This record gives sequence, structure tokens and C-alpha cells, in this order.
Amino acid sequence: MTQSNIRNFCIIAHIDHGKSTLADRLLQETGTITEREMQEQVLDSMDLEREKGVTIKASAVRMKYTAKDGEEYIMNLIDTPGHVDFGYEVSRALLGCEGALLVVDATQGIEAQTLANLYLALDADLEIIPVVNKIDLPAAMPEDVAEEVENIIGLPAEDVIPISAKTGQNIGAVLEAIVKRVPPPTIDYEAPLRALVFDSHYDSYKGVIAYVRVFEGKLNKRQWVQMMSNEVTAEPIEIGVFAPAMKPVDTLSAGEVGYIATGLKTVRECRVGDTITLREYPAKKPLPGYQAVKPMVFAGFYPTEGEDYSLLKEALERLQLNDAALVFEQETSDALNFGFRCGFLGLFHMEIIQERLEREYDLDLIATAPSVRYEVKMAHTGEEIVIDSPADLPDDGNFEEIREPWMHVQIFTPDEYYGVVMDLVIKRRGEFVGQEYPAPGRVVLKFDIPLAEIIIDFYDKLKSGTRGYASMDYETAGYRASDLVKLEVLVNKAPVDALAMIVHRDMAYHRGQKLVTALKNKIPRQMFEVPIQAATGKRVISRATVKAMRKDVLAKCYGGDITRKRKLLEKQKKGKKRMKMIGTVEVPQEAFMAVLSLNDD
Amino acid sequence: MIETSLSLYLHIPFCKHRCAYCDFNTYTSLLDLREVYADALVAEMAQVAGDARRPVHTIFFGGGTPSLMSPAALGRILDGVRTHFALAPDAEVTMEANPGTVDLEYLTAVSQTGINRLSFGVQSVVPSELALLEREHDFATVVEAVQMARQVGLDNFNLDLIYGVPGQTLASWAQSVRTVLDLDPTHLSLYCLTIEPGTPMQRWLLNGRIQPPDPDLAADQYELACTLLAEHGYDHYEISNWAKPGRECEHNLTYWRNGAYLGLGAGAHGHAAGVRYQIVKQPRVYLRRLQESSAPGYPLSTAVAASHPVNRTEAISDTMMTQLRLLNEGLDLAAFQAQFGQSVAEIYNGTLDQLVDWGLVGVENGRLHLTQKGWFLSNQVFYRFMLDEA
Ligand SMILES: Nc1nc2c(ncn2[C@@H]2O[C@H](COP(=O)(O)OP(=O)(O)O)[C@@H](O)[C@H]2O)c(=O)[nH]1
Ligand code: SF4
Ligand SMILES: [Mg+2]
Repeated sequence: MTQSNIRNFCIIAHIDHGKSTLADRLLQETGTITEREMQEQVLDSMDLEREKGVTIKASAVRMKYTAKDGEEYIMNLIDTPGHVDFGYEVSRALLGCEGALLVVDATQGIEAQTLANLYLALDADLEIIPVVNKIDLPAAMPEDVAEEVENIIGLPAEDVIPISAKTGQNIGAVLEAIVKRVPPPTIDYEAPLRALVFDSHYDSYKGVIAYVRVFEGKLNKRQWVQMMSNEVTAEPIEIGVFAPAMKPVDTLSAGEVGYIATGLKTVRECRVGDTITLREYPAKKPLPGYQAVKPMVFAGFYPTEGEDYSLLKEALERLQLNDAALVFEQETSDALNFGFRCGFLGLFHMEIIQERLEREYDLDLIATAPSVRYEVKMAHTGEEIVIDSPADLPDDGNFEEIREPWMHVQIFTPDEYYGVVMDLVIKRRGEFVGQEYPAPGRVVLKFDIPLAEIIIDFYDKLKSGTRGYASMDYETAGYRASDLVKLEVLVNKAPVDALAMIVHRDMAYHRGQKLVTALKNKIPRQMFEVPIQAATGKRVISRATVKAMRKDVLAKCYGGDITRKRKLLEKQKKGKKRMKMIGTVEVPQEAFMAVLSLNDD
Repeated sequence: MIETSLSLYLHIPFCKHRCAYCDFNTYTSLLDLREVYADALVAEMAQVAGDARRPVHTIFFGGGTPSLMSPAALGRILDGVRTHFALAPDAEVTMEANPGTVDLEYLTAVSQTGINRLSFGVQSVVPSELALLEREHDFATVVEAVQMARQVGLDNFNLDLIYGVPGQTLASWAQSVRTVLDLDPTHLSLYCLTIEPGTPMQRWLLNGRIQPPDPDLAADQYELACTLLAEHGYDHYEISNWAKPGRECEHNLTYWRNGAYLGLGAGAHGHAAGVRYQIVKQPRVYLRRLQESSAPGYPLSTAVAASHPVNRTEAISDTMMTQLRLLNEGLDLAAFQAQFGQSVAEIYNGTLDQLVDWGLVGVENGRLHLTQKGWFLSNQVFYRFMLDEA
């Protein structure tokens, strides 16, 4: 086997266009796994991934393929995460490849993520092989979509391969195209080792396992390695390739994709995007483009039962072993006691973590509404502080300037929804940047918008307003100063820190009104009347009242069925136990997420 | 607890039509089983009672629709009771009856079996409300049924009404209450409608055909009824029950005093000899199970579906939630301490203070009772008295 017989490629696609299904077919076609071993969608291995239908982490697999030219090829497929929250991880994974299969659904055409991923692939200088999938469907329009590919992406329509990943139709043509069109890796065996970490996971026996693409040099299994960003060194416990299970090898050479079991204790020491070199024979420069990922979205996680605090801490630590993007620190709330302020890449990442904590660790959590990280310049001292939690914002007048993160957003939609999308974006303080008509009947709208405005309910609104047709992609656009204030919520006259939010001054009244109404509907009636108020500074701007409960009586005792009555009462008691006491008011967990249900209309 | 005398609950699981809100154990397609079912009830008594002939002071035929049973069948059942138990000569023997199912001849025959009290499911006098509930009678039928009952000497009777019905107003409720008061019953039961899972009514609620009842309106309705019935000399002796002096339902008092009662018939519940149990629900299964030999012994028959001994925790919770339903009587604090070796205050220290503070319970003459505010919010009191299992 020579290095010219290696092909490293990935599959990029908008969600649901068939990336995982195609990967399965390729594995089958090359005999990498047999029909029997084929669980549905091998690469999406976490339960949650399967359920959400989105790949969360990258992974890799090595296939052997005997091409029509009679040669045997080694093909490394690197799977990329399928959600914009993980855009950086995608870009790193793409760097490990020389080619990309661009999958487009023959019934849907090109969408926002198709383009976003395509641009990343072009940035990484990849050979693009366009594939139109799902041609088995009656609604498929492979010719039209091929034309769209030609118009929008500039690849000749006749190069587009029509396939069905479901039936396996034309999969052979895809494999041949990979062999013929994806260039073999260029290699230099003699240079010092440079291997790109495109993913990693933590294994309790072997420590952090780095998924790597070796660009230059060679790694022997007995050589010490070094991380170039932080100079952490390690003696590998094992090195190997994915076939598709992890299979140890003696050496990994330039051009190859494989893994290094580092024995390191946290993924933080071996981050995605970093370059691994040899301790004794280090490279001069790392591979380009490394950046430590930064959390963008923050929320407080609190155990419902105070005594679960240490369990929550342990669970977060465990998840962090595998997730360099997750950060957390202890936080105390007057309302919710002890918990953690956690940082995530985006809302989707947050949901994933929350669900894993609840399912895999069986924790009952209260999550506060997500917020972003603000930069604040204090009034008198000029001191700069950073705020992850709305409750921490100093009172109006005590700071000179507050800045919030903005995003560049692209929304891809049929043009009949132009007005709907514009409306939504403007209501959320978005600024129109430009538009393009890449294909007849389609428009790409470009906006800048504060991140805080899109983490809450924006995507759902966009989807429902465009009957599911619009798609969206975003990237960071730096911080900008804004006229922001803290909106405080008082329940029964006492401020509840966990419900505070930071809003634009012009929207404070409106949001306050919505928030107190939402809370009024979420807080059950108590033995006494409960006023709910929203305030900025010390000024109450809106209020609502949860009336005192008047009646709560069990009906007929049916034929002496006392047990049933007792069970109902016990259930009622249990329900109450899951509530949080704020002073003497019982507040259900959902109330802390009430902000999420604020409507704009 | 010493079991002086028992109450018997006899379940009759047959109806002609299922009412829209009903989730009771009743069947509309098994009417043919009525006669064999009556004999099965007697067979079950034989299994349960053995040769002991325990004293019985109340009997209650509940349903379902007991008035669908023939007088002969009712007679056989009551003869069975007299054989297997020592039935007190002045025992209260109640039968639930649907107004549309009785005539003079039937009631005459019924009164001769020993049944001496009736309970009519009136529910409402307003045609649109009766239609929504899918009750099969109108109010004129009720008036006739009541007259006939008096004619045959059955003048001790209860009338059931339901409030909190979708579409019902305070005015229409007042009309129902006033109209039934004209019939001068000895006893009234007023229930708030609960929309149970699986009933047609719940479906209508989910698909928007009806609006959910307003809890504040229900509170107003209850309050209004309390006033009207007090004006007419009825004693509000239990959360949902009112009686003319001396006409309380003895059978229900057994439940509220957490006393001993046997449940006989499909789906019946019992509480005796420190055990709570339930009989299998399906009448056909019930009949088959009674064929089996080797009954487990008192108070269980071969048709028992589930049973468990009542431990101290459960007994305390049960005592609190039943005894407090009796508004005048309340809970005798000294008796409680004597029975459980600990006082209510010891067991529920913080809870009790909180409830007193909220004005939901009070103590008078050594008895804990619900306050007037507490009548409306009794669940809020009771659930706080539920003890966690150790
Ligand atoms: N009819 C048809 N359905 C397909 C085809 N490829 C994928 N699908 C279906 O499309 C959905 C999304 O596919 P998946 O591979 O999970 O998409 P991913 O989100 O890009 O990984 C699944 O329900 C697949 O079964 C195809 O060629 N034909
Ligand atoms: S009469 Fe009573 S038991 Fe029969 S269906 Fe109606 S509510 Fe249910
Ligand atoms: Mg997938």
C-alpha cells in the first residue's frame, strides 16, 4: 500500500439530506461492516444523536475499496457534526480531508447549511463531489437540483452524481468518484510529526483518545508526543486506526487518519484543532487555524433537590471529560440555592447537555433561561468586567458601557417568506446587511443580530413562520455596545435572581409585560395572593397577580375507595415537592424557563 | 381498632348507558348477568363471613345502577346478608337508584326486601346540563320517582347534584339546588365534577367542544349551596354531604370514621381486620374467580384483586383525611393519641402551625376540624397530612 492509494474525505450536507444514511451505505458497499453488524446509522453512536438525528461529535472510519482499476484503496471517512453550534469542529474535521461529498436532497435543493459547509470546505481547499440524494422519492427533481448546484456552487451539472442512499442506487459511482477525483494526500515522511486533532473522546482506560489526521512525518507507537498549543506531553498508550472499531497499529504515517490514546485525563489538554508533534523531534509550527472554542450561551443549572448538588457536579465533570466546549462554575442563587453557571457553544449544545444530565445521570434539574456573556465597563473606575449571569449586572448608572455579542446570520428561504423573515429579524434588533437571489424563487438574507435575540425562540419562530422552509446559519461578529438594562422579576415582592434578564431598554416594557404574564400562567394558585412584578432599576414596569386559590376538593368517594383518594393526595404532595420555594411561594421548574415562551406578537 | 359492627358495600356494575363523565366500574353490555351476579354476591358473602355471623348495621347498594336489579334479586342478596351476618333490626339499607328506572310496582317490591333508604342521581334540573352529562332522565322523572318513593313509605332519601359542569352558571346551579329543595329530601350530596381520563367528557375538553370548568365559579357555587342549605335547616356534616338532623348517612359515616366495611361485588373496596382490599373489576372475571375454592379467609374472598395490611403510617394518613371530612365531628385528638401513641401535634408540628396560620384548620373542644375556608381547600390540608412511607 502506497500513500497514493489513500483517500481522505468527508460528507457535508444540510441536516436530514442523508449524510448518515450515505455513510452507512458506503460502509456496507466496501464490506467494512456486514449487513448483520449494521445497526442503523453506525456513525451516530450516542443515543441522543440518534434521537435528534444530528451528529454531535466527529468520528472517523477506515474502509478498504478495490476500485475498477484493480487497485486497493484505503478510504478514510471523517464524519462531521451536523449542527451550526459545532461549526468550528466541522472546520477542523474538514482540514483532515482532501475531498468532500456534498450531499443535497433531491426534493429540497440547496439549503443554508449546505452552503455554510460548502464554504468551509472550499476554505479548506477540498475537492467537492456533489451528490444528489433521495432520487428514489417521487418528489425528487435531480435535474433541477443539479442545475441549482451548477448555478449556486459553480460545479458542472453533469458532474453531479444522482443516488439513493436508501436503496443503494449508484453508490458504486460515488466510490469511483472518490478514487478518481479526490487527490491523494501529499506527504512528507521525513518532516517532524504534525497531526491535526479533529476530535477526541475520553476513555476511562486509555485516557483521552485523539482522533488525528497525520499531515507530515510519522508516529511510532513508542514515541512520546506533545500538544503544540500547551506543550502537554504524553506517552501514547496505543495508536491505531478505525476499521471501523479501534484497531492498534505500530505506526501512523503522513496521509493517514487514526487515533492516539494519550492517557491524558481531560479533553481540555488535547483540544480539537490542536497539532500533535513528537516530544523529541518537534515541528516548528503547528498546523494553521487552532483556536480554543469559547462558550457563547450561558445558563444556570440547579438540582431540584438540594442534596443532588454533588451529583450534579460529578456529572458535569464527567461530561466535561469528553466535551472541551462545556464550561461550568459554581453559582449561588437566592432562589435556587447551589448550582452551576454553565457555558455552551449554543442552545442546541445546551439542550444536549441538559438532556444527558437528566437521562444518563437521572438528575432533576432546573435550568434558568439561557443568556449570553456581556462585557461591562464600570462608571467610575473604568474597570472592565464580564458577566455571564443577568443577575450580576450592576444597577443602571453604575456602568458606563455594556457590550453584547453579535452574530452574522444568513437565512435561506423561498422568496415568498421574505417579508416574514424580515419582520422577525427587525423585531429582534437585527440589522439588514444584504440579500442574494442564488436561484429563482430563493433568497439568502444576510443580517447582523445580537446573539441574545436568537438564542431564545428565534429558530422555532423562523421555522414556523416559513412553514419549515427557511434554514439558517450563523457565525460570530464580535461585541457591540448597546443600551441594555437589567429586567428584574419580583415574586411576592422579593426579587428572584434566577429570573432576571438583560434586555434592550426599548424592549424592557414589552418583555416585562410578557414575562409577568407567562409567569402568572406558570405559577399555580397558592393559599394567598401572589403579586408578580417586572422592574428596571427600582421602577416596577409591569405586574400581574396570581389569585389566591379558592377551591381544591376531591369529589365523590366512590364506594369507599379510600386508597384511590390517598394516592391522589400523595401524587399532589409529590408534585409540590418538585417545586422550588421562593419565600413562601411554590414555583414550578418550568417557570424558570418562562422567558423561552415569550412571543413577539 | 375494635370492630363493633360492620358496614357492607355491595357493588352493582351494570348501567344501561354510560354517562359522559363516568369512570366508575360499570358495564352496559352485561345486563344479562344480573341474576347470576346476585347469587354470586351471596356466594361471596359465604366465603368471606364463614360461620362468624358478624354484626352489620349499614348496607349500601352502589353502582352502576342498583335499581336495574330485580326486586327478587335484591331480596335474595339481602336474605344472604341475614344468613351470613347478624343484620341489626334498625340497620340502614340504602340503594342508589336512577330516576328513570323505577315505577310504583318496583318500589313497592323493593321496600319489601328491607331496603329503607334511596339515593337518586339527579345531578341537575337543567335539560342542557343533563344532556351534556348524558343522563337519561329529565327532571319530571325525578319528581315522579320521589313521589312514588314517598307513596311506598321510602321517605328517607338522598338526592345527588353535580356542580362545576361546563356551561353551568351560578344561576342555573341555584335553580337546581332550589328545585330539589322543594322535594324536601332528608339528605343531599353535592359533588364537583372531575373530568376523568378516558371519559367522553375529557375527549370533548381536549378537542375544544367544551371549556374547562372555572374553579372560581365552582367555589361560588359551593358557597351558594352552603348558604341555601343552611337556610333550609340542613346540617353540613361532611364536605360534600348535608342532612336533616339525625338523617346523616350512617354508611358513609363508617368511611369517614375510618371504620370497618366489607366490599362485595366486582370492583368493590373493603377495609376490615386491618386490611384494605379490592375485588376484581370485570364482572365475568368476578363470577369465574368466585368458583375457585380455598378462600384466603376473612375479610377476603377468592375474587380479591389486591390487598395489603394497613401499616401505622397509612392508618395515620387515612385517619387524618377521612375524619377531617366530618365538619362538625372533626378528629378527636385524645382518641388519636390513644390509638397511635403520638399526638397530632407531635407528628405534624410545622404543618399544623402552617395550616392554622392559613386559617384552614382549627381546634375546638379537643377536636381538630376544617374551618369554613378549609372546606373549600380540603385537599390542601389533606395532602400536607400524608406521611411519607418510612
Ligand atoms: N427515500 C429516501 N430517504 C432517505 C434517503 N437517504 C436518507 N433518507 C432518509 O432521510 C432522513 C435523514 O437521513 P440521515 O441520513 O439521518 O440525514 P443526515 O441528517 O444528513 O445524517 C432519514 O429518515 C433517512 O431514512 C434516500 O436516498 N431516499
Ligand atoms: S349511572 Fe352512574 S354508574 Fe352508571 S354510567 Fe351514569 S354515572 Fe356511571
Ligand atoms: Mg445524521
